[in-house]
Amino acid sequence: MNRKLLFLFILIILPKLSLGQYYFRMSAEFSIKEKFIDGTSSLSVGKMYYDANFKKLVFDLSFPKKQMLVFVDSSMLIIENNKIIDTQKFSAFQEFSIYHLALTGKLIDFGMKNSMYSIQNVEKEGDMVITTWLPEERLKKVLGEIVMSMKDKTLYGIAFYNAEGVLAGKQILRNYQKVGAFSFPGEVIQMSYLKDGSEAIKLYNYSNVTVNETGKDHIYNYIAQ
Amino acid sequence: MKLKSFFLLAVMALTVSGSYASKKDVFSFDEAKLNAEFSGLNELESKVKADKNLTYDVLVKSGEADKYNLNAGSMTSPSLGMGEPPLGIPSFLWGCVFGVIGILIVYLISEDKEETKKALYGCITFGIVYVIVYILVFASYATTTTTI
Repeated sequence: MNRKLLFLFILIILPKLSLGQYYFRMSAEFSIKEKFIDGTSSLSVGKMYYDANFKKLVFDLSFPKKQMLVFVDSSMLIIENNKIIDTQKFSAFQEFSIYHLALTGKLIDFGMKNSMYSIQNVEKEGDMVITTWLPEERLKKVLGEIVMSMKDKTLYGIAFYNAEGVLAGKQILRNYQKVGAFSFPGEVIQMSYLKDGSEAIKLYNYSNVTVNETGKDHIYNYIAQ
Repeated sequence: MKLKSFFLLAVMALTVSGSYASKKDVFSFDEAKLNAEFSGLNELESKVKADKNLTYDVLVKSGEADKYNLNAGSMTSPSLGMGEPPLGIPSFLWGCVFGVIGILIVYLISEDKEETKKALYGCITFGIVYVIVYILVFASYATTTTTI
């Protein structure tokens, strides 16, 4: 009898416990620094907002100019002074963004589990667990392998190889920020290598990460005028 | 003959061990070089954060823009970036908006192979169709469950 009661109690309490782990929206201050191959550079500073239910991604930029970029459905809206100044169409789905992956707990493998890649090998090297992913057979002419490393149970690095097996680029995710059970990289370093040997570097920094913020639906569910 | 075979095996063993590179090594990079390369932009970032009214136009007017060697194209319109942005997305957003798929697309499209572009457009179209079908199936399942 007691066992039955215990089972019933667990059955009732379990959804409530898992609800506590449910993250649906996040915001963060960000900066994106970029070094181009020609030696020039760029800087973008602002705040980002993402809601996994509304599937709207908002970048509220303060630099280089006061502007909002809103990604909704298959459009990117460029907004200045609350007015849409331009709309660009594209084939996109926010489900693959780093923010959506983090909120849904899929950042650990960067969403690779549901991609056109499958695991070829897993090995431990020092403090890292290295996973090698191979593309589907039909894509091997175009895509190369992807190598991922995990450190302290978080995703640390991703390396991309082209179909010829040459390193095309890599990303390092580190300085994770924790908000309860939610964690998000405070720094993402992206390095791309071109065939001529040149290198382009992009640096993403995130700070003041907030999750499940209430009362800001006008931003998270931004409706353009 | 035995000696010859021994040397041959030894050379082979050395070649194999010499060419083996740890996969972990691919994730190393020169931290000092990175800091040096971004020191100017770090300084600019601090200025921007301290002064909320500082924009690229203000920097141009004050003559400070040249100091940071900023790319005029990407600064005046983030939707433009360098040259033609792949699939119309600002290049600076690719890493965060599309995660691994986006990075792959940028790498591959930057190689400018028409065949690659077509293949990726195909993959993306497949992805969209997959997501739509998934949502429809999920929605119909939810409706069925609610009506029961």
